[in-house]
Amino acid sequence: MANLKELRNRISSVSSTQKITKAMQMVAASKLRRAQENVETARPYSDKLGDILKNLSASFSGQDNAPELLAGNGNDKSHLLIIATSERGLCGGFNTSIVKLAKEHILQLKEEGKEVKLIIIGKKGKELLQRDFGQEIIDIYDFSEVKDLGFIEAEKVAENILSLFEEGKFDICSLYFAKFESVLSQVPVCQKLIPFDIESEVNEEKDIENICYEYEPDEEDILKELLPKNLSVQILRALLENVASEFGARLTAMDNATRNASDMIDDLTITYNRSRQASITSELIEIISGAEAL
Amino acid sequence: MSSKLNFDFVSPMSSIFSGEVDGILIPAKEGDAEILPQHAPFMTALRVGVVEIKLTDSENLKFLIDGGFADIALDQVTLLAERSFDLVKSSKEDFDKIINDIAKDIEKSEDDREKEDLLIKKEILEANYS
Repeated sequence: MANLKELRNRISSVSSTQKITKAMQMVAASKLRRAQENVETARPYSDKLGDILKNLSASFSGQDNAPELLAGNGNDKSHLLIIATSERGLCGGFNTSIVKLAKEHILQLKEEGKEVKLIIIGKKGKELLQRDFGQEIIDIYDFSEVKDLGFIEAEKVAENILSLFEEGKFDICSLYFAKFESVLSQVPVCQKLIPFDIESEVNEEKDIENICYEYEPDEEDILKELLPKNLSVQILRALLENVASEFGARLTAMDNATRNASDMIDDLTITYNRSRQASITSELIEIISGAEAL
Repeated sequence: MSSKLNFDFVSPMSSIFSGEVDGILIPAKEGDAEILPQHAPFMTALRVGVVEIKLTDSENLKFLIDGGFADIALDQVTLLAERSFDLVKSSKEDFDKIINDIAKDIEKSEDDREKEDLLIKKEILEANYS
């Protein structure tokens, strides 16, 4: 049986770990609320933009003169994958689940003989992907210094993607992030950015009203301005969803850790008490048997 | 026939204004336009300029925007703008800060069109500075 001093030390170390996990849980909970609000405030903009784009792109479907950002450039040889992860760890399976989804797709694309390029947002994704796919990574964004992720960051990423697209460095672009469904569930998803995925933008609530719009300037020019904007907004939305998911995942992970720690403390306390009792009993037996011998 | 417009003014990070208004002046790409109730469906890109929201006869809200989009469908108007600056409610310090920032950007800027936009912004800000 472990000696008493060792047990005491372990109990105190586990309870200080518990304090840390408990504190992290509470921090995550309060930050989660803010992150959720951010996601909700960003939603109207991207929904409205989606609606407008849907209206516009309907008039372009099947036509040859559709902008490349909308219809793609006709090739699918080179794929650009943008993988958004968190800057900090201790958030359960959050990063691994995103990276796992991305890895599956990377391997699949490679098997098909496609060229793969990666842009990684967040330190954790870099750590997880650098060893296997160090060659494919073309850019890494580190937003650990940024306190509130906002439109400026999203725009930075979007501008980079646009200039790469114009240079013809890739044909198809998709974005990986974790969609925030609830505190308990964050689902890693893959969203197509280029070409524009009309299907996923469809809002089931309302049909496209067939209003005959007048456009100023014409449809093509509006679309040319809207599509790059849409790219930034989609990235922004992904970043915000990711932040909310990260805190959600951390909240659950830390809750589990706190509970595990208290289970462990209970177990250790029982062992400690038992061994203390055992040593007292054996001491008593020694005294009594010593007295009897006299 | 309603005599009010439903107006939503949203930016990526927040909803700036949402409610019923009498009319809106927007800086459309091809000239300023005033939107009144029962306007024909109309979609336009916006340039740098001032959006004026007419709440009542005497009450107006003014925002400086960096360009954006307006979607007008009968009595529902949606305006999307990435950056906006409240010209009525902002304090002197805010004005000073943004004018300073723009002045710095003008110096840095190499693109003529960008420079022009920045100069227009600065002029509008200085005109509303009081």
